[in-house]
Amino acid sequence: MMHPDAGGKPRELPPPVAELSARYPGRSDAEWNALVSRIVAGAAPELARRRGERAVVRPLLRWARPLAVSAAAVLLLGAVALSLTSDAEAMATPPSFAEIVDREPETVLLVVDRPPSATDLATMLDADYNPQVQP
Amino acid sequence: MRSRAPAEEAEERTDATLVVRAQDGDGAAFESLVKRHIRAAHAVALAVLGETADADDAVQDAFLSAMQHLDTCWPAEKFRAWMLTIVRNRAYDMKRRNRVRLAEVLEDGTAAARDPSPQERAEHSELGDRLSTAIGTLTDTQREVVMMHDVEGWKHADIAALLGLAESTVRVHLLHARRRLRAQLLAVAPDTGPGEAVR
Repeated sequence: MMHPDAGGKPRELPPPVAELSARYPGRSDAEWNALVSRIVAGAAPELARRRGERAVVRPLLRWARPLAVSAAAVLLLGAVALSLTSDAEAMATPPSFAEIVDREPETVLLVVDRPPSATDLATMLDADYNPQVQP
Repeated sequence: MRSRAPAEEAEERTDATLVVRAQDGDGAAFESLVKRHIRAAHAVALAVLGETADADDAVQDAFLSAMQHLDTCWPAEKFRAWMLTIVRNRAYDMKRRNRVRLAEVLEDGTAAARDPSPQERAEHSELGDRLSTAIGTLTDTQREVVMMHDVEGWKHADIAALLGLAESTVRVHLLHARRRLRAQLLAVAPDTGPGEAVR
């Protein structure tokens, strides 16, 4: 058998050491079977534990999957229904104080040429806000 | 059509199917996995440990450990590679423990107690002792390669895949291992005892 060596030139692979196979003779099928039996016997408690565990968990798993699917479907339908709602006003949050004051304060106050009174602020905060300022 | 025994049916299944069934506690599936891979597993363990009895123990431990951690075998069709890695690690653990134990015994000054009796000496052939000495001079990788190739008949590609090496590297290791083994065997004169082997 030849194979390239590190330098690229082929180097002959020496034949196997015959004594090696003499030192490790093949095993009989009976020996292999005995080893397999020992391993399977050793694993028996773990296999039994797994069988018991699956016997408890499997019925739960049988129900868990349809329940999860149903819950996902309900969530999906709810999300779709919400997105289709046209009542935007119902969804809208009431304006904050800062939003109301920032609406047109300069123009309002410039017209009357005076600082805003408590009544002005109360009027602006009111839901039926009227931009006309009382004298 | 005649009905077949569960073990017979399990023989025909893929590793992935058998793993899933064994995860559920199917003994026949686990037995099929063991039968299918025990020779490869033993070859790997023997390549590391060099002694058949030690290899048996390592293989047994490895399969039991694999059974306990079978849920971590993912993807299931890679069972063989996963299993052989466990076997190899287990064999190296065992080898390390054996070394530590031997060192402790020598430290205690009880080495004489471990000297083989004349009967034990007779049981070990001269060839076996010479070979053990020669194999002991190989590096871990050289020993694994030469044992798997020359004793177990593995192909270069399979050894390369297991050890994570290139095929060409495996060939180089095999070449050096064979040369070193031959040199060691020649260096030990037939009339010298095993203790006088090449240092």
